[in-house]
Amino acid sequence: MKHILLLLQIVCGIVYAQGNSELNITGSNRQEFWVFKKDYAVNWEDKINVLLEYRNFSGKLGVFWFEPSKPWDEKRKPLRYFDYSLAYAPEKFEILLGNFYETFGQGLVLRTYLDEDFRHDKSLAGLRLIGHLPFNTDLILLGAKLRDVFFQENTYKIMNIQDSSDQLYGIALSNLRFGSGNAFIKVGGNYLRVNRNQDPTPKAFNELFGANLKGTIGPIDLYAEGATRFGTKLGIGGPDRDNYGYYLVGSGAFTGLGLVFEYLDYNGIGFPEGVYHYNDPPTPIRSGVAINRGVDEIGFGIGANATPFSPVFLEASFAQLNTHNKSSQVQEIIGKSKYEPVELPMIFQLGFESMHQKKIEAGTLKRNTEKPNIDLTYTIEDHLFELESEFTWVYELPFDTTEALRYYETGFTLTYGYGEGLILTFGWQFCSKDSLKRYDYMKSWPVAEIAWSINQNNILRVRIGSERGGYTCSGGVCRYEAPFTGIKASLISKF
Amino acid sequence: MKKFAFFILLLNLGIVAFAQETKTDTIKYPKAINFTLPSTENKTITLDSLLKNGPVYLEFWDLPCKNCIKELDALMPIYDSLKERGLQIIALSVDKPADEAKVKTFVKSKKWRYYVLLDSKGKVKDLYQIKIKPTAYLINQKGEIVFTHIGFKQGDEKRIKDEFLKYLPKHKPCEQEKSESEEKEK
Repeated sequence: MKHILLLLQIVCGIVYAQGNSELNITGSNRQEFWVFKKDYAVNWEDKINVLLEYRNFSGKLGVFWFEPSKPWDEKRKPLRYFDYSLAYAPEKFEILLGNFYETFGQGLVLRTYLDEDFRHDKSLAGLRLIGHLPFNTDLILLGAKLRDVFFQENTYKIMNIQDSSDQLYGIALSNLRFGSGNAFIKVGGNYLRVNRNQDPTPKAFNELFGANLKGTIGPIDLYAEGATRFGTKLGIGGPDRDNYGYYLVGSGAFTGLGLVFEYLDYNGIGFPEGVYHYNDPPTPIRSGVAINRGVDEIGFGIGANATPFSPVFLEASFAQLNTHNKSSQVQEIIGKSKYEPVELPMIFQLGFESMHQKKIEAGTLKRNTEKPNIDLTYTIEDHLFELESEFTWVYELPFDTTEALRYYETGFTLTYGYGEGLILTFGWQFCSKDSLKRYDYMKSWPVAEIAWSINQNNILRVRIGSERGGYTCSGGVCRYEAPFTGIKASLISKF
Repeated sequence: MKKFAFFILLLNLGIVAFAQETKTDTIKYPKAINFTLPSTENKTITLDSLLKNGPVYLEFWDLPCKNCIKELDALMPIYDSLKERGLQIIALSVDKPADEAKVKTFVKSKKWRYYVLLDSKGKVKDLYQIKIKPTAYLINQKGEIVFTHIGFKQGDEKRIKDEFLKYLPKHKPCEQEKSESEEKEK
């Protein structure tokens, strides 16, 4: 492992010595270093990727290295892995061996992705063949295994560690197009078979079938996707059927005005039940909250964006998601306005967010938040000043008490930027209640950060202070981030 | 292990040192990787075909990225003033597949006149190794990445415009032909 890492580093180091104009070598490296004030524990993380391209061939090497300081335990321990892929992609097809990401449709059957900001790397390792057919149609065939790496509780975990040898076989036909210009229909279909190592029953199987249809007439788009899952019950056998998922979207994109409506109904389509899924159906909640990621959800969302006149931009959305019996529910309302006058070097934004949750977060029966926020940016020559502020009223009813908690949270961030390369940020978050277990019984979180663009290809960030943490979600996947006090440093390089 | 980690850290600093800018006439620019993606206008756009018409500023963005939207808003008047001279801007959305409809309606409501491309599977984002958003590249007509801009704050658009002007002709294409023919007559 050390040798592979060293080899990769050497390849990166000689990139600039390459004289072969047909060989293109690029890469990136992200290093992070955290020090926790509480016990001076340290997290060190490095992710390096190198991409080599030569004519129709490409190769990718990646190393991930997470090293927390000792003592290690079952939760907090090192994680290291090595990724690679080799691909050959002439005009008509592409064949790839190694690590890749693939999504069928909108994710009701298969969805794998890399979310760097949320520290979630859900990838496949195996073989994929893509045939580029006439009429911009693609045919995808794959055979692979899943690896789901997720960051929570200040450490990385492989979420499907018990099922890492499950085999996935998939086929998808996408974008078969009828019509031309601004009036057309696109059709797609997909299939995924999962052979689970956990299920030794001879006739055990799980299959997901999906189909999607998109119609476009000028500025109007209509999209419908449906999927169903057939299989056998894990361990005990017997049919597992009547699992379905539907996702419908209608949108109108007009100059200066955009409207979106989405509706979804999922019943047993999220698979398997548990901490990871092979698929991840969409959620209408913009903050990324989902209830159970396709196991039992029904909901809708409406959104509108408009530029009624030049310096003003408006956004509004309403979304609701609940289980079929409404035992769990989340409702979100967002409104934003932005004013950017031409004659002044400033931007003014005013917003409001409301979130009402029932049995979403562990240990919490209800949690309602109402949050107005304001953002003002002003530029004077090379100097930038930005003030962001939010105020949140919270109503919370934990499971283990009949007494509701009412408190408020507030936060201010002041940013100063100079020239091209320097940004200083001072922030402070405050909670009026100090008896909250979710925040480790703390009330105040001051923080300072400096971000320095060393040059075009390197950015250094150092953050010192405290972060409140809390429940955070992205694309239907959620985690609870513990409060943090200490130092975080990161260096991102591209070459 | 600690010594090895320290050694790797030093080596990474060495890589950073290698990534320093040098004199313009000695710089070997990296090649931009070609790609083909659908646009929000239901067309299929290829980078190489756009480069035939002029330099391209390629920005990776998504809906949750406030600074990405600030940059694309700030570049709009610059784009309007320079597009006649051949400047092209690609706003490459890396939003997930379920947000495709939201991207289209958002872009139309903003009245952006760029090429807005949809990379919902993240393939091009992966090819370009995007770690921070926004990340933007100015690609000259030879297909070389001549300028990189990572992150954005208000005021950066002036520097970006200066970079555009280095790679655009001084006149509009038809005006350029006229001025060249005038010079020949002289």
